[in-house]
Formats: sequence, structure tokens, C-alpha cells
Amino acid sequence: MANIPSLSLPLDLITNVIFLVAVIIYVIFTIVFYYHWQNYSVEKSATIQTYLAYFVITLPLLALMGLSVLII
Amino acid sequence: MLFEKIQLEPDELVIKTVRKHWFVITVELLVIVLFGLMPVFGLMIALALPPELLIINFLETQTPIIIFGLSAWLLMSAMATATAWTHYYLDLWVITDRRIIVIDQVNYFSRKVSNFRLERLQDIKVSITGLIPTLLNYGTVRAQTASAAESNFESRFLPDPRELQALIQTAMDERLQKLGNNVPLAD
Repeated sequence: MANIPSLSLPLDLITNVIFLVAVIIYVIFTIVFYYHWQNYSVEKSATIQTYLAYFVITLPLLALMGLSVLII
Repeated sequence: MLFEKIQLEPDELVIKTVRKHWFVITVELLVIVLFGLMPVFGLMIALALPPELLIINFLETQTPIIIFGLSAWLLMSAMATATAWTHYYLDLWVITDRRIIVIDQVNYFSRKVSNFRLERLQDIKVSITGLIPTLLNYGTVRAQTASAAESNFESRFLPDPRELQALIQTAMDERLQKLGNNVPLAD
């Protein structure tokens, strides 16, 4: 077998890339989510409560991901 | 908001809006929550293993990576929950005194909105099949209109389908009475 050059990527680079991809997915998802609720909901109060629950749950998780990327 | 986009006719009265039965969204959310908690259960099992396996040592040294992975997993689960809730909440029947508006939110990029005038409605069928639907009183509602066969509509998991059938029937009778049985011809 010929010598195959091994490729080693630093862990911080991998986590940085994963975090960046996660942020992009999150932003796109949030735009689609917001658009749907803004246009197709029939109750304003339900829309506001949904937004609140969504951001209260997801933003701390995203912040936690960012924080752990900084530590790694 | 949706009602502004649908543009209800002047004096058109919304009698009822119906969503799928709560059991449907409960089961969906339960599955997502269990899926979301899977790594937490995994960590608990890892912590319960004997110390000779050095798993505790690994968990202690790699804490930031574990937190990163756990957050990503939970974020994914939260987004899945938001999707399930959106599909449940935005999928509905609006029954007015003139028509039925059926909004079928298939997924984020597929949405069907159908309009059926009550005077064109010919038949409405209800079916409740299975143990859980019978106990919780939900089922399928099928309606047939005087128009082409493609315009027939069907919705599953609707709560109290018999009451819904009666409500539509009453609204239809009132509408026909109002029109003086002057039903317009089908297209």
C-alpha cells in the first residue's frame, strides 16, 4: 500500500466550522419560521407566545455553543 | 395575519376554526422531547458505569466538547419542536357562514388553501376508526362538493368530527335558506 498522507484537523477548527454552519442553518430556519407565523397565523397572542418560547429556548443554546467554541 | 389575506366577504362570520386533535401534537412533541433527551440519558448511563472504564475521566477532560455537542443536539430538537408546532397550529379549517376554508400546512414550503362554498357542498362524511380515536373522539372528515372530483376534501385527526359535521350541516342549511334555494350551477 502506498503511503497515504494523513490529514489532521485541529479540534477548534472543526468546532468553529460546525458552529458557523449551525448559525447559518439557525438564521435561515428562523427567517422561514418567522415568515410563516407572521403571514399565516390567525391569533396575534399565539404568534407572540410562540416567538417568545422559540427565542427563549434557542438563543441560550446557541450562546452556549458559542461559549464552548471559545473555550475549546 | 391570515384573515386579512383570505379577505372574508363583508358581513361574513367566522363560526369556528378547527385544528387537529391535541393527541396528534402531544405524540409528536413527546417523540421529539425523548429524542432531545437521548444524549442526557447517555451521559447518565456513562456516569453510572464503573470508574475503571475511565469514562468519568474522559467526561471531565472533554467537558466543553460535550457541552457543545449537547447544545447542538438540543438546538436541533428545539427547531424540530418549532416545526411540529407550526405545522399543527397553521393547519386548520375555518368554517364561516358562507364557506369552508381548508388550510393544509404540509411542510414549510408546501401549503394548500382550499375554499368551498357551503351551497356547493353535497355530502359530508365522518369516520372514526381505531381504539384511540374512538376513546379520544377524533377522526376523518370527508366532504364532497358539486364541483369536480379534485375539489373534494378530506382531513384526518379532527376533534369531535360528529359535532363538526352537524355544525357544517346547519351552516349549509342556513346558507341555502338564505339563498332561497337558488344554488348556482357547478363549474
